[in-house]
Amino acid sequence: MAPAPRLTVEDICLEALELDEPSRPGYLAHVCGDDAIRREVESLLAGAAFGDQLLESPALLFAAAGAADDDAGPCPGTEIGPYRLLEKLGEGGMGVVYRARQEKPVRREVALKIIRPGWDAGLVAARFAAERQALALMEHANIARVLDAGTTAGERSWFAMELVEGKPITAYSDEAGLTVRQRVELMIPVCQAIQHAHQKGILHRDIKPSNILVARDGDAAISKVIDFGIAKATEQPLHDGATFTRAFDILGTFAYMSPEQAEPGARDIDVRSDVYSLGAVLYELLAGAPPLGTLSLRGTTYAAILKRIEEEVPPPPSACAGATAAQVRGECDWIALKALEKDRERRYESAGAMARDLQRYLSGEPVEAGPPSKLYRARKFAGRHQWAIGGAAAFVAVLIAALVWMTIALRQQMRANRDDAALREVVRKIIVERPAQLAQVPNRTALRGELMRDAEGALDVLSREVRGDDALALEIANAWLAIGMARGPYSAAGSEGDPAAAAKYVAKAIDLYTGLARRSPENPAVRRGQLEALSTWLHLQYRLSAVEAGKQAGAQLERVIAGLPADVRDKVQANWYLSTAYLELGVILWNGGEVKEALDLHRKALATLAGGIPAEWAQDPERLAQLSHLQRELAISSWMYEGANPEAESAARHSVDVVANCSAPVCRMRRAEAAGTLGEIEWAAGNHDQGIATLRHSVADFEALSQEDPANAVYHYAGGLVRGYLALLLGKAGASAEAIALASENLRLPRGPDAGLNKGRERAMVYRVTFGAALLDAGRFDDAVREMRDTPSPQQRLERQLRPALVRTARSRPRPRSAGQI
Amino acid sequence: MGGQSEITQLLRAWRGGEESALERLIPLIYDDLRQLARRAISRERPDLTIQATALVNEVFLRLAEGAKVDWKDRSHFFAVSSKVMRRILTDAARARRREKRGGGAEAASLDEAEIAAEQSDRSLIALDDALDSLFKSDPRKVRVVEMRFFGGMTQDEIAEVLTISRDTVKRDWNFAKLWLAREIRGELPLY
Repeated sequence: MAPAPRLTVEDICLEALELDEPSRPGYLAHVCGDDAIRREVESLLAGAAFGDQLLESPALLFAAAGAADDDAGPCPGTEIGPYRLLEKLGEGGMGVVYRARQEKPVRREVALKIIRPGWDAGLVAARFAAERQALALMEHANIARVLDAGTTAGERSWFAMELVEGKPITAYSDEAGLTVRQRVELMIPVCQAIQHAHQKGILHRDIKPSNILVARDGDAAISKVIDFGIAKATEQPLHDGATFTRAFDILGTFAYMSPEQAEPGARDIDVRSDVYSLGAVLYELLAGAPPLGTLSLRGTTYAAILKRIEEEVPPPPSACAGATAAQVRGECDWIALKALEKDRERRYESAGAMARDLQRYLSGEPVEAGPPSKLYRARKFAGRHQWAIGGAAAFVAVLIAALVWMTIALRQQMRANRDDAALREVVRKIIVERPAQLAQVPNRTALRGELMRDAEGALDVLSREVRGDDALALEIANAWLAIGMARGPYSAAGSEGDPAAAAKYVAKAIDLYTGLARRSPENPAVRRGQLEALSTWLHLQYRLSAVEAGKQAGAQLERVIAGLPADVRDKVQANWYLSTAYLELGVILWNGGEVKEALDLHRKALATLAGGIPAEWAQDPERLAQLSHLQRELAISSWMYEGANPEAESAARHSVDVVANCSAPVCRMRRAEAAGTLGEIEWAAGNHDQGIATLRHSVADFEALSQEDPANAVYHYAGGLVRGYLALLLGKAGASAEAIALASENLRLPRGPDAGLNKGRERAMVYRVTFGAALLDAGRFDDAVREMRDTPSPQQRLERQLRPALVRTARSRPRPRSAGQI
Repeated sequence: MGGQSEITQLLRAWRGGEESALERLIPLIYDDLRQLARRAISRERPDLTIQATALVNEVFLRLAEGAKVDWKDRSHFFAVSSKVMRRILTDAARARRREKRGGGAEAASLDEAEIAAEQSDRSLIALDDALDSLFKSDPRKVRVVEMRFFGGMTQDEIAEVLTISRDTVKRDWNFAKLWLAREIRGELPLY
């Protein structure tokens, strides 16, 4: 190659590659000193596309294409040992299976499995020889016997087996449309067959649906386990050099493999490893897929799969069973999960024991397997929610474990009639403080449910032991209240919760507090708990739309506060609770249509809190949120009663400000709500741009909250309401397209449960009304009428909030002459 | 395991500049990689069309566990493995070609999959030959191609092993592609 003056051929080529094709000739003409170089460069560049194509994907994929025809196995007609191959029956990970005929000494057809190249045929033969005697001892109707083994001329191992013309147990069950019972019936003889083999000292080691074939025999279905002894003979242990191929050899069976067997270098395998695999097959029969799904190496590594097998606890099969879930739930779940325990000590000790439990299930007797323990559930729960809750999982697991332990420990303590302050401290820390912390964890709606159910169980046990021990009674009252608060009130939980259930717990707390207050009226801890419980009760009455019960509860709270000894009043922040009583009562009256009374009560509530939030609660998110709530309710009632006015606007602004620096979800929700109200009032006061901007903030805040905790219907609902308002106002401002887009987003919101104030039907109504209004604003009168005609007749607060806006909107727009124009 | 610590020693020696260590290293891991490649390219396991990196990574992890190979040796191990991988894959392709010719299967086939398979094998063999030619004038570029194409290594890893800049790796790769493409195009029937 002639040396170029400055640039080499390589330099020129690489430079030219950077240019687009049309610019290349000009560049080459400029830099190539002579024609020889130019020709050289051009001939190289001509191959650019081909070179990219050639070397684009990794070599292995390339080679895989070349090997497409490899390993197809010998052709029918070939003679192998005393057998002649007749036809190919199937292919698996390890080899190809043929139907083959033997002429001598007996004439019969067999299944002949030829192992793929890559296995050391000598070693396979030696291993098989070692097990041969044991295999010969097996005699079971549900085991396909291995008849013979050998090595082909091409150094491939083969096995001759009893020919079973059946289908894999899972495919058979699905095609035959078997019921849950019939599936269990099919599994029992399989377990018994495995038990038989175990008694002869043989492990299967590769139990999976494709190794359990089911054939029809007249009316009966008979299952046969195939491939006994083959897994062991073909296993490639870690110590003899061929180690890593193992990862690939076992791929097809990952999904059914016990943790101890999947472990690299697994040696200590016993019958319980087969029990696990039986459990995995049972699981698939019940759930439609293996316990951890189909494990493949795609996009992951052997180590990652191993970790899943070792750690990931599958959901109960009923969770995946679809239509048959109800039949699978309970015993079937328990049996499958017991067989699938990660720790083999916890599995059935034998395949026979599993068969007996399945039999018990069929005959309706109690099964040996029980519902998973709380510890187990905590672990499983933590595993399942890891992606969502991160560090929270660890503390929930610890928490639930601790609850169980404590329940037992406390009962023992109390039986011994000992008063152990340390134990009570634990109750308080775990049952009372944790739920409060939990409320601060994002995306916690699902988490809280699990936690609460466990806490309730523990408390029920403890409550029975409480007699005569006031200190313990107080802790338990606190705990019931904590559960009630975490379960019900929207302010504490940031979720709509279950007010009826919560009321039940709070009532238990109130009973305990009332008794305690009679015995020790000056104990601030008792009195504060009592006030907290009563005000929570009052809030729940509002949530349950129980106007009369609410009024009574409000009166009772006032009475209790009035009866407090003077020196206790300050210690327990009595004014705060009094203010809360006025607030809740006001909301209840407002809901009953008594707006003037509501406004008076809200003003009184704020006046009672003359000093603002008590100093001890200045950083407490729940209290900040509560204050924000009060200010907002005042703003609403003032605005509704007197129209947009400085009192309403100032209260709404305070409502935003008081939670502005608090990042707890409950604060953020209140801030979003407050911004919604403030925006409406700003608009109503004539400050349209500001109002729309504030409402946009509110919608964005709700959207962020919904994303973090999608199960929380309150976020969807309250956010939807503000979005609906924003749509109405945008429509009025002439931005019809955006208004329609926003309003139609609401129509896609989840409906949510039909509970409490936030009824799904009402929600749908509100959304449709706003959508209709947006259409109206856009001049699509007929569309709007159609939308709103189907709207159920609105009755509640929401309707009262919306209807005037709607009417105003409708009035402010002249009816277009022709329908449908935009 | 004796074999494992020998691998470690050879890796270190190679890193220390002893070129012959590489040649002695190859037989030690050849069988392992061959079996691995065999599994990976077996048609019945579509899940295993994993990339060369993942594959070699698995080998390395197994070897490293036993031998306590310094993690820094990883890139060098990849480098060696990619050379071995080239040998394995092209040997396999040559063997298939021989078999086909021997079996009189050279006659035109209409099976699309078979045609594609044959094309792949021929390309691979032609590439192997072309790399040999390139080695005479520019061995470093051959190394780069081996590591990237056969070993699935990243540009950064290659740069580290060859102690050249990332930019040089990129230039070598781009030019090698042009050069190899020109070599090979003459060898292959147009399609």
